[in-house]
Amino acid sequence: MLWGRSSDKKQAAPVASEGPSFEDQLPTLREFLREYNRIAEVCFNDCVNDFTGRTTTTSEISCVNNCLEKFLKVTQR
Amino acid sequence: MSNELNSNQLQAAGELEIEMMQDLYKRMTTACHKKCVIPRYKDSELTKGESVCIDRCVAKYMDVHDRIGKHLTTMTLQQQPSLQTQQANDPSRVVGSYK
Repeated sequence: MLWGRSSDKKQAAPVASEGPSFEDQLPTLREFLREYNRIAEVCFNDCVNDFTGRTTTTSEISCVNNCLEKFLKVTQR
Repeated sequence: MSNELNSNQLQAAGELEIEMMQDLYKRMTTACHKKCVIPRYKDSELTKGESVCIDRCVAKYMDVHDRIGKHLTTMTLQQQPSLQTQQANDPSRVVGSYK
């Protein structure tokens, strides 16, 4: 998903810099959003364990940020 | 890419958003059930502690979800400056908060 786009398979139309249509981008967008949900689930499960309060603590926030960065680096590697 | 979507595209975007919300709901309920409900089923009613835990769990899950969404949107915009004009009109439309 991150190393190629479905629009690459088609030759670019002679229209100047129109880019892929919205419909062409939908499957990629769907996958991106699914990954987003998955990242949220994984990072929540790993980082948030304390339910004594309603707001996320600063340590949980920094854990989530790091989790997100690592997740992306894993996919890039 | 044009900033405006026709009605078919809007409908497709709306359906996608609903699908993602269902996915979010499913993951959230699974996560909060695992974190809050003790697997000793002596009683069918939720205890007060479990109910409070679930409330807090949902609040935190949505907060985490929003933060990640904002972070991802920022990173995506940094990588594709052509999208920045869209952001002014429609900040994080599909990855945005569901409040």
